[in-house]
Amino acid sequence: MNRVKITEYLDIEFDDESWVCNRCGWNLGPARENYKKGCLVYPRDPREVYPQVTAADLTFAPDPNWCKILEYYCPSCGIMLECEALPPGHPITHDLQIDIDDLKSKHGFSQPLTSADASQR
Amino acid sequence: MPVDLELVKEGRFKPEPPTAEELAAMSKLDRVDYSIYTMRVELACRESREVLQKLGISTLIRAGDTAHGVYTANGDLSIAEVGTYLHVVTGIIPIKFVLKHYLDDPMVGVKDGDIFFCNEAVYGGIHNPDMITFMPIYWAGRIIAWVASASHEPETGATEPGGMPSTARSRYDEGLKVPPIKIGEQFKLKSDIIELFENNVRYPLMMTNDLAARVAACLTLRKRILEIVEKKGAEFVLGTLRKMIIDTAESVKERISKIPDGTYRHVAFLDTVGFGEGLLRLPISLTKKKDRMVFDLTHASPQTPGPYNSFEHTVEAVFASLVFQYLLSDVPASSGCLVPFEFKTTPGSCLNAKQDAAVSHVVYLLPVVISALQILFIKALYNVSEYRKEEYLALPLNGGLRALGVSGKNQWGKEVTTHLIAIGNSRGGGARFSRDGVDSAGFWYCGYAEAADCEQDESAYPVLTVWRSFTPDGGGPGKYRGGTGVSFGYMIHNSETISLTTIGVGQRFPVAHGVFGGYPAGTRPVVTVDDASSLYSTDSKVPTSDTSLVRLIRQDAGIRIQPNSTPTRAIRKGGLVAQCSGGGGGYGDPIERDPNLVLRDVETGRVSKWAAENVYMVVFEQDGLHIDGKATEERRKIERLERRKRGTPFESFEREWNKLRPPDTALRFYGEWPVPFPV
Repeated sequence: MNRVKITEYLDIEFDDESWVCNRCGWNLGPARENYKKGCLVYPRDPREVYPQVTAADLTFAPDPNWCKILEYYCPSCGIMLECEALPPGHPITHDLQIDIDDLKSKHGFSQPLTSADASQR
Repeated sequence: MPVDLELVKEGRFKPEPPTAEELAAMSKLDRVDYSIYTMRVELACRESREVLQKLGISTLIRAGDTAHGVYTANGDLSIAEVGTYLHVVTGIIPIKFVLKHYLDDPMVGVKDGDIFFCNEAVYGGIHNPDMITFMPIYWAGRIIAWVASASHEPETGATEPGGMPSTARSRYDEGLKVPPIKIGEQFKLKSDIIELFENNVRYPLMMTNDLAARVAACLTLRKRILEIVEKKGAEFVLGTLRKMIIDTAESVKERISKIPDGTYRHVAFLDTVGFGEGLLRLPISLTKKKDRMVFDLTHASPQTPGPYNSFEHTVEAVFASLVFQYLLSDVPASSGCLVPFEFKTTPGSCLNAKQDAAVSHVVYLLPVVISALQILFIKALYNVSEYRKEEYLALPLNGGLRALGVSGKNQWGKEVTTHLIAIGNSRGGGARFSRDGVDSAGFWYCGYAEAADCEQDESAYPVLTVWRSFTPDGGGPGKYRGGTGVSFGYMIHNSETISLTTIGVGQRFPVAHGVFGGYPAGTRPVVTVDDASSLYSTDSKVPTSDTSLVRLIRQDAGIRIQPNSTPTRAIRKGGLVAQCSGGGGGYGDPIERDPNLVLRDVETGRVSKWAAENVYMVVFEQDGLHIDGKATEERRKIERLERRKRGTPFESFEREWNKLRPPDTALRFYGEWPVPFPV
């Protein structure tokens, strides 16, 4: 097991180059892709997080027609790995696109490169 | 002479190559002397800040919204002391402009004792309330350095009082805009120039007083630099000022190189353009490769028809505010910090507006952009063990500014105009790697400033502070909670009628985001009441916050719950205005928060019992005063199970999600819908 921490809840496992939930060890998919693809997603109505003070147009809570909070859960342990506030339908963010080869190199897991590989890097 | 945009477009915020003379001087520097005199220069800047803060009268100067810097002979910033980081690099382009265009111009020229001024954003600044005064330092008949003093003046003679008109449609609505100009000779201000300035603003006394105060600050700084020259020689000063810049650049490159290469993305939104509501998209992608970073902001919304626009260079200038106080807080705030960074924006977008655009609310637009950038830094830095600590993994202070502009006769019968912005800038700090954000932490861009005492506002302006308070649920929930902002209420006092302007963002869409499962801080509108006197003439409960005001006020009192940015209107004696500075974002999943911390938050009024039970998922004992530990653990286990039931696999979720769209009213300034990130 050769893991490094990437976020509060996400590790990258070098052995199979995968995203891993560090609370339960669940494999969330290839580290070269968006970890969100391995998550469960729930669009939270912001009024469930922020109390409304009045029934007026501006309630003191975010407007659910303008804003949803997308919650990304680990399918195994249910931890909320990340959340993001987006207008309904706005493209989901690929927030972490890490150069895995550089990451390995920084942590001393570099494989010897062929000259062909080296020329492509 | 046409406007010279080349200095800005050529990226001349960044340092010039060192001259042969500077390199030679650097090679002779003694390390100990360099260290001592670097500190000496910084202390001189700090002394100048004290001079300005004590002599100035604007609310923003009193709060510390100032910057003082020392520049090389060719205009590169060597070191600055704040006040506010926002002004730090804005002296660079005006100084380089003067050197380029006026040094050899016999009608202007540059001589010992000359004093220059600029408040025109096109020439490298932020917006026109930000005014800078600068002077050359001569030694043996040649310029060896420059000094500058900058501050925010809350009145520019714009179409609305206060210098930041919500209804501005172009630069011509924003009042006095002065390109780099000589305003004094032989160490004295010119009377005709003072007359010109006074004739263009609503509060001439403040304009002239603060102009003179900035000159006094420059003279103090000049004197201290010359003392060093007399003691150590001009060559020593030349070498020291250049070395500070080179050292900063090397330091930032070294720090960046430790971060994993890759692309990191975040998207922020604003919900206003000043005169009306609407979403603006502000996506940012950070691509890090070796010791360089490229920020791609090319997919921002189009230039707005209001004042929520930025010039291309202003993004870079405000970005400096972030790195000076966040990544590089322990090295000189010099122009060397910008060396490894490149910014990409799209001409015609709200982040690269045309020259005639209104930009006065740029300080409301860019903090949201740069706050998003700080989130990118957190995500990029987390992997590096030496950065995995609260100094680096800290969410920003809330970037959503809110402020009030007032104009009218004060209790002394004097016409005054100002922004009561200092308390609105007392915002919650973002949550951190191992602890909560600071409540009422400060200005987003102004780490060393403070909120003025309410008595200071009351002594000069026609208002009475009726409360300043923390309100529950102001900070974003999380394992570590965002700090909460401050609710504040002002009653119109000792004046029959005043003009009131409210400014700000974040009534429908959150602007202070969380990270790693932490929620954003919530939203807040502005509340005004035409006649609040009934609240203070009976035995009924007196409101102590904007939320309690809404609950207590009679509907026939003329209550309005509005977007934070509203045009100027008259408000009479007895009227009341209430606003709340924003809180910071949360860090981590809220159901991982220590239940005892939740209880403490409820006891201190930082979190409501509703949020404790429904967001943090704690269970109280029957007495309502203690946490039931076992029941809380069980409740949180159930929540995790429920998440797994209600959550949808990503691919099927995204398919349905992509069919949604906000209402057209939300998209009227947005541009094309939807626009994905640049990949």
